[in-house]
Amino acid sequence: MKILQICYNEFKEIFADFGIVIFVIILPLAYPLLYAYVYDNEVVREVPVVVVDDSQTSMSREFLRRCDASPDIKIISHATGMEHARTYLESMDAYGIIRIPREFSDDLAEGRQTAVGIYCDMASMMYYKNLMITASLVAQDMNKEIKVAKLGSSTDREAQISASPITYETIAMYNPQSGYSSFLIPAVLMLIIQQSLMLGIGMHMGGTRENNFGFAVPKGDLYHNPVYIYLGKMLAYFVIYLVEAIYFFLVVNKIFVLPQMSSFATYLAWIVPYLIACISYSILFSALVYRREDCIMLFVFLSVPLIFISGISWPISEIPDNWRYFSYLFPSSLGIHAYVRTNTMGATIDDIAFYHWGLIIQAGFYTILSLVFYYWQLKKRKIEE
Amino acid sequence: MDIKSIFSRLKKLALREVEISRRRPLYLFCMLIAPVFFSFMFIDVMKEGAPHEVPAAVVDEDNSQVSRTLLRTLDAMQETDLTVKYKDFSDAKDALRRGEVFAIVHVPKGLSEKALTQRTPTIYFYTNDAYFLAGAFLFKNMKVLGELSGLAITKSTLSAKGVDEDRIMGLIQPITVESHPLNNPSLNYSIYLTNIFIPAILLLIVFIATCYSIGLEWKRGTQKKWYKDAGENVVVALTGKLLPQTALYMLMFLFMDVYLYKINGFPIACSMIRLLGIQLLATLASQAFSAAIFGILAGQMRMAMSVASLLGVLSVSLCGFTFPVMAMPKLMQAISWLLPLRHYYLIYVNQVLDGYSIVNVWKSFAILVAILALPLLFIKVYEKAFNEVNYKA
Repeated sequence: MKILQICYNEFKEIFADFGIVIFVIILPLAYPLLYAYVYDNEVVREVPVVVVDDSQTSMSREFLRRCDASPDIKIISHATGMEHARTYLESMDAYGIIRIPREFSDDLAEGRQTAVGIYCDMASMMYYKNLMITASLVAQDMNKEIKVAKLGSSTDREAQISASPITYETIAMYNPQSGYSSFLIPAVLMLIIQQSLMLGIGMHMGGTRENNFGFAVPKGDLYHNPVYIYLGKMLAYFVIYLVEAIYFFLVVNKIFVLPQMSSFATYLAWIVPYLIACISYSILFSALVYRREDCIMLFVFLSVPLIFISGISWPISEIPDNWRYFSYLFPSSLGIHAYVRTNTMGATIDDIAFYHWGLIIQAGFYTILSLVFYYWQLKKRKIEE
Repeated sequence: MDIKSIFSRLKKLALREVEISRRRPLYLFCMLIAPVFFSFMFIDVMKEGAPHEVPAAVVDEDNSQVSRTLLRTLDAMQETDLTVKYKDFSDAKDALRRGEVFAIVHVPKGLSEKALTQRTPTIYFYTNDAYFLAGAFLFKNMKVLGELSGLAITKSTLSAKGVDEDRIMGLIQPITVESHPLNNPSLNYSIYLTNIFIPAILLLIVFIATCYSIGLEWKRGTQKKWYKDAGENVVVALTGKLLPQTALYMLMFLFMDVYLYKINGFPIACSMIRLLGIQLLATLASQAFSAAIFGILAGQMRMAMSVASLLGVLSVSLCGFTFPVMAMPKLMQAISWLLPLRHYYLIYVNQVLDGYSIVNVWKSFAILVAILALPLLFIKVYEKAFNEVNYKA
């Protein structure tokens, strides 16, 4: 009964405090939409490039025409030479240069290999990727046609074979467009759960301390047992976040047409320990918060390094072991992979046993530490009284 | 107020600020320890520069001379680790789903037979693009291999036909593409990411800490004393309070610059002094921006910090170094113009990475300078807040 009463008080305090409502209600509802909007285009199109055509032949013009026709890049201008072309990069009007050498057509006519130069600004890897893929594909296509003409095979079929005796196909699994939001949004969703909990619980803790002379537990008969206090608080946040987690799964994924391979049951099987781990972790680290606003100062900037160390961008196989173990301290590191693997890649709960068990262990670990923290706070208060 | 009294007031406020900060472990953690720690973390995690052993699975159903040669070529490529071999494609697909491997090379049965009888066999490469970077790296390798494997067989056919070795390349790959990634020729990801990650975190801290430290005056009820010490002049009050923090942030930038460009030998195309100047301007602009947010919200500490956090975190996306701004919705492109981090990024690319003429980024400089003046618009609001507004939770 006491647990429910503490839980009820917690609910009342959360909804009476607009600062906390922003963090635990508005932020989780609105942030996913904001991020999905920022990355709505998924892929980068029409990267502006400038060309230096020293060959000026029908062959070189054909190469450039095909590049321009691709959706990935857009030729914005023809420069008179490399020096001139560079000025476009300097003023950021273009991000790359395609240079066709003077001997381009002569080389091809005489059966020598010729090289088209790609010069790319490295301000963003996306420019480089678009430019390289386009130029390579155009070269590949034109090579095929040149070979067919050169080898002068008697039938079309033979010509095709000498053009390309083994063909290959690349298939982008789980994210067929290689889209940026399909990759990033799942990680952002999981991070939002953890970070907004830290902010909300942290702000609540700051408020409690401000009103109770620095103690983390309010006065009154209700707050005597660390287990009751922990469970009461936990339950309140758990109910709120379970609803939000379901909103992520059912609404956010649908609105933004993100991949959804996971069954609802699988999702619940690991999101429950993830929520408990995040809540307990937040309760523990809220111990560092002495003023309401401290939580913003302390926790917000951690988002960037937390996403990075989770191994979602820089591949997890490349993260040195000691840093990987360090990352396991944070529920988000495990939760992000659990979500990406089940929801984006269609892994079963058995496939993610490592993350599933990791989350359960984290939930247990941080629960025990939170209980220790409350026990210690209660003892401290008793002595002072 | 004459110049002399302004200076003595600024000095007094600065000393007061140093005293306040000294007694706050929270400041120490956020402004000193965290940036240093994350600098070490980014550099150490990405010390290889490019992923070198992303695991890929092989399903060789053909198991012939031709297929084995092919797979040896792929294994020899630096960024792929072909340690995992599967007999069955569905096993490999399970491994991909479990995240044990990030790609599959599938050589179907009958490859060599089809190739020899000229029936154009196909090899399949699967990459896991749920993991964007890993997928992109492997995609690049797979593409190269796909072309190489095609070439290898044509080459032997042509040799058999007695075509001159020199002419073969001209025949089978007439046009090649030579890539010149300017100023980061090895495509080093650490150079690409760390250079902007660390300033991004620092400027995010500046955003939040500025609102926090100003707001704390109201919270502790010391705003009237602070205002009085400043001779009831808002500009003097803010300058005196924020300049000591600027000094601390610059110390962090100096640490970062020495650590990246001197100790780790990251390329830098302008002088250190100039870089520090750019960082100073970006820091001051971020402080001014944050002080203006506090002004707009008439001294409401928590709201101001929330707005600063929102814009600060959004800056990391909107500065455009991972996903270019030009591919974002128009509204976001417009917002990006207001953000100091966006302009720091543009100037960084122009000066540090490329070493172009600084004239090309004059707009970004102009905007950063304009942002410095932003709090002036809210002097009246600040005056009112100093005199009338009390902290409320």
